[in-house]
Amino acid sequence: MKQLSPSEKTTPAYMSKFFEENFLNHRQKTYHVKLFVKRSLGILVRIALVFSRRGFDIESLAFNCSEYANTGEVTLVFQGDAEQLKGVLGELKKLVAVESVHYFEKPKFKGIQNGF
Amino acid sequence: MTQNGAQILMQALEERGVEVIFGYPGGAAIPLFDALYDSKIRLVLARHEQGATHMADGYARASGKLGVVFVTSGPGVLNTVTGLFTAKMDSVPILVISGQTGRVSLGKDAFQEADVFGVTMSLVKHSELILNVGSLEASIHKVIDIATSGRPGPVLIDIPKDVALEQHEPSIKKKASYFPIQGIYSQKNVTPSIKTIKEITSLMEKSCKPLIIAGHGVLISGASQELFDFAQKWNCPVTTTLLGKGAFPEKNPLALGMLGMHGTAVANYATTQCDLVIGIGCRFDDRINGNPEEFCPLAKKIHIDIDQTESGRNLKVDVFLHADAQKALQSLLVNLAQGDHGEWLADLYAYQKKYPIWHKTKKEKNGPLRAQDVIQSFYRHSPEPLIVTTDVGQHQMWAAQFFLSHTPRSWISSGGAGTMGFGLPSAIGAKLAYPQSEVLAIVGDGGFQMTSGELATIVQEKLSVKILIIDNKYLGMVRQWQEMFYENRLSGVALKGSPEFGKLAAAYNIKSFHLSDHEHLEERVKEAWNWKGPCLIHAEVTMEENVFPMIPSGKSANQMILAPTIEPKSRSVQS
Repeated sequence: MKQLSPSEKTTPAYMSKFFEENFLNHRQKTYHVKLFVKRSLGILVRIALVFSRRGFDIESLAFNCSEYANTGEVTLVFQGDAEQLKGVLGELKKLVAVESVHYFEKPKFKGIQNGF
Repeated sequence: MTQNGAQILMQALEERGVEVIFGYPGGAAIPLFDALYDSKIRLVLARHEQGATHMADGYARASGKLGVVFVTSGPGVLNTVTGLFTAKMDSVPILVISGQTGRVSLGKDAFQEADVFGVTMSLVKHSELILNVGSLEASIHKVIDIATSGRPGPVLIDIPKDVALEQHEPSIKKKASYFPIQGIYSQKNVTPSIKTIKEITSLMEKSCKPLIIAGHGVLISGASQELFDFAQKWNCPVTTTLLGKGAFPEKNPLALGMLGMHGTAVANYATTQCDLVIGIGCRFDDRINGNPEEFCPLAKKIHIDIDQTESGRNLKVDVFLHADAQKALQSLLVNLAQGDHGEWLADLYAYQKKYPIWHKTKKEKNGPLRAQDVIQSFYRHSPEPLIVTTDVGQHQMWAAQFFLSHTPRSWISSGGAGTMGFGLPSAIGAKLAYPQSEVLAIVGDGGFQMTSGELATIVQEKLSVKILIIDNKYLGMVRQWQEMFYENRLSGVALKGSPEFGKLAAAYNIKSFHLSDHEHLEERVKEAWNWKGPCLIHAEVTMEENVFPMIPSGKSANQMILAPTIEPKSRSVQS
């Protein structure tokens, strides 16, 4: 029987790739995501959990009342690659209180480095 | 006529056809149990809240209906967390209704107060904290719709005690259909897009070596018959995931058995050789596709799932079809031409003959009894209809390999979550769903001791559940990994203080059988099957047996270890 060394078995191949993509990758972009949500208990936590579960941070987040009754607008900014964006948008759409999800890449303003 | 919150809840549950509730009372849940007193719904009193959720889980998996759990606040509902997680990972519709301290005490560390809504948030499909009795009825219908539609999942409702006791006069007599839900959950069956179906059809026409991977989704959407017709007509081999067992009759020549880490050699070989793979209702998780880069290296990949977020999540696929499995298969069946993949099947059969599931077949009359022998013997004499449930570990894999499932919903096992202690309670739930069916819980000595208190539930509810304990006096799967990958440094795996399980059964007035050698194996197994009423079979088996074939974690299918004596051959992939 083939004996595998500990390092071989504890780090699956995709893990190192995951590390590479997440921390060394230059494909990371800043995305702005806009959500229209029903104002219900705990919705902000649910949105935050989608991000924290995947291990990345929200850089900025704003929750506003919208002009429609019981509806709120959430605007948030995070860094990630296209695949992570796809995963996050899918999970956000699955939340019951989320009505619609939109995203756009960071507009390039001269002289502004982070955030809006 | 005014009703209090608990009565409104009970009426809504009756309207939705709930027949059984699993539960455990406590201070904050007394109003709920009080309303249950007048109800037609049967209460099954568990011995631990984790057991109650697993029972509801087993009930839901066996029947396809919603499993409902009543628990109290604080420790009561926190014990259901494992059950919620198990249901979430395996997409099972269960509804946990928990009592909560009164509204004025929320957030004040009152007695038995826990932030259940917050704790369970990442484990449920949806949850609601009811702060107004007027919204209770609508919320219940909403969460039941959410739990049972699309990709099913667990939901939770937290009802403060004073809301459950508050009187409320419904303005109109509302029917269930009065509460439509919007968005993606309003679609119960997602219809496949014609364009994607055409793409799939064109890929199917080009393929000479196709393979179907059937997952739990096929069972959930009730597409077993369609899958059977599809595979038969196209003459395509079918392999199932652990939870998909039963979606395709395993005695059919087209069935290759389970694939994945401990799947059959032929199923894993097929993934390395096929040129088209169609995953239906499965999510290509890490136990199936060890290494996503090298999974089905020669194949075009098609994925059919009702959950859009599964698209490209674990595996990059060529075509993703967002649809209900049944509808997708019906659409594919419409213009399906008769297929013939004789050569491909002959190749697979030759491989299957060369590498069957490894198992020492030499039997001495008083020789050591192996777990595989016991499970095979139980399978040989098994009656119909039968539901098998398992715990998690070596016995689960042997049961998956040797205990073939031929009908849908006849195999219940904790897959994604891998919850030990799942086998016995889920067998109780399955028996309640199908009283006319025999139910066998195959459990390990470790997992059984996690929820063995539920033996009392079996006695109290007079359920004829058969429990087969595969006792190797080890936490076998962990020991196997320690032996194979940690230089046999066995740490924390020896279960030395286990009771004599026969005596434990006797303490509950349950009949027990003891198996320790080949001599009386067959007759005792027959006797156990013929026993009317609950019984426990204690099988003492060889201690250091390993499960094979095995694909080491993170490796691809061509690095499969077939048997302990055979060196793992790195078979090169033919192009």
